Amino acid sequence: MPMPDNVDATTPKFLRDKYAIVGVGETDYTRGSTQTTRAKSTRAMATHAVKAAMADAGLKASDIDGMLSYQSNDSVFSPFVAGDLGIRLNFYMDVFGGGSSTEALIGIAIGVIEAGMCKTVVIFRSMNGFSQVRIGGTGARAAAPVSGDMLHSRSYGWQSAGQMFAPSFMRHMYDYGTTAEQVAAVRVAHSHHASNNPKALYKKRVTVEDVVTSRMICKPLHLLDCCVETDNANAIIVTSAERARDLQHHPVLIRGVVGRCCKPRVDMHYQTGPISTVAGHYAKEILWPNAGVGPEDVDLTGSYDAFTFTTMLQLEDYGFCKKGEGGAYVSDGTIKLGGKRPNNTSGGHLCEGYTHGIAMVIENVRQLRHDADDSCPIGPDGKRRHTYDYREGGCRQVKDAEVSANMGWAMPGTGSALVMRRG
Amino acid sequence: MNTSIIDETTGRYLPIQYPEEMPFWKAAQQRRLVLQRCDDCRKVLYPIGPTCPHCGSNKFTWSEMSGRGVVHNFVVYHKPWVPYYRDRVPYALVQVQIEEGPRLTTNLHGVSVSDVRIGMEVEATWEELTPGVTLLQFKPRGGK
Ligand SMILES: [Zn+2]
Repeated sequence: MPMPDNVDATTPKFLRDKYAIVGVGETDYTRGSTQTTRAKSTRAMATHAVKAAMADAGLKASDIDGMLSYQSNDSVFSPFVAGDLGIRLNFYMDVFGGGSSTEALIGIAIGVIEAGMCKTVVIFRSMNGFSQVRIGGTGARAAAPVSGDMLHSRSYGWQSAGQMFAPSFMRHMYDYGTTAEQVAAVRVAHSHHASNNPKALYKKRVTVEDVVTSRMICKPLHLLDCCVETDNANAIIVTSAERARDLQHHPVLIRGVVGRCCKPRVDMHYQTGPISTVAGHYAKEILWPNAGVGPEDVDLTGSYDAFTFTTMLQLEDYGFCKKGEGGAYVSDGTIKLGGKRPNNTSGGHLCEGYTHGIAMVIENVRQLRHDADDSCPIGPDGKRRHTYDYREGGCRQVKDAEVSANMGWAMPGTGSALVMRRG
Repeated sequence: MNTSIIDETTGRYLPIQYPEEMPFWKAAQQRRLVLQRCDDCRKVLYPIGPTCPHCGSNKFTWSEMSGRGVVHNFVVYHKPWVPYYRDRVPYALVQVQIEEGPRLTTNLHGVSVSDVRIGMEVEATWEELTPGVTLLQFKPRGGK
């Protein structure tokens, strides 16, 4: 949708449109990068992804002087990746975190450039999420010592992400009458999108029936309510809108960011406040005023889908529908390609691959460039001729996409968000 | 203090017992539920902590709870992560809102997982994990 007329797009307070994403890149989404003849390290994958993002932007090593990454004690640090690529850094930081990191780090990148600490920042996430540290709770993560808020949970057999988050879904069903079938529609939509994404690990379209008859993992969560685990690295490059104008692609401008906004008590989410409300309830009070747009202005969304219901809860609490109506919103066709506001057009973490949120931002950057990497034919100018035919194996470009919103999720109590627009 | 991984004898994780939590664990061994009640605002704090998040006071008294509550929420686990649960799935995890206010997360004993409901009236029961660790659990009120 076009930007509303009555918005002051230059308000310096919010730095609206002053910074841009100019490059994106990733490795293939694989399972078992360390099970092939030679293990792929997180360092090798990160270097590949950053190099791809630089090539995408048309930037040389000497153009990059900032680097940010996030990880959970499972990945390479920035200086190694910079060293491999001949990048001399004026700023770097590697932070702890998962699904609420990408949007937050974009905000930090804006801050450090604004502060004059560096000029152009690469953000990456590199993870062997299938072969090494599996988020599902098996392998190395399951053997970690217990501490903090796990103190009173692990003895009760409560430890994986699915187990930790599922209570939000259960209580939402109780509070609002949401059904497993409604929430399964998220998997259905994302699987349709993935079928038009050559990069996606799971390209097969599924039905609501497939989801609700799949094995129960943690009632009310079925196997197909849960995302895929993969090995991959992804990178994005942030710089000023001014520099963006000289680069390869149509710039994608950053309207507003929220970083790791929290509910009143995050460590014990289930002990305080309504369980069926998530951090977006608070984050939306920062996101929309800072971005100068509202949910109604957004053409497509990227909502963290480690599980089907995390997408539903976030879309609801960021105000894309009324509180309690998330089940209807995700199952009435709105979030599918061809619908009013498609969500996770790449197939997301449920189907494309698991990246702790960064891939959903990359997808929306490509969407706002009008350059989704689907199977549509490429013209003589090197640009895709999108057909907007969303049948299986076809197009996944959202027509005339102008404004997008991304919603990252660390846990029910913590989230980050980002609004971007086509420059 | 046990900071290690899965306990070999029981096949499950044992809770770490930090010094500031010892009144809770010692009472548990006597099958009594005690939590911190703020001396200033009189609210009961949970999780166990150094200050009252309601009023900022750091004066509190370990106080006996009724042990009675209502199931506020639950989920049912079908996948075991540690040896202990291998032949015990599916098992329920509940958030019980006790009469004094806080919600405590435990398993629910004495009822089939298919009968667990939000709103069920429950009371504290105790599970001895090791001679040094007794774990709070809940069961339907009046049940076994
Ligand atoms: Zn108090």
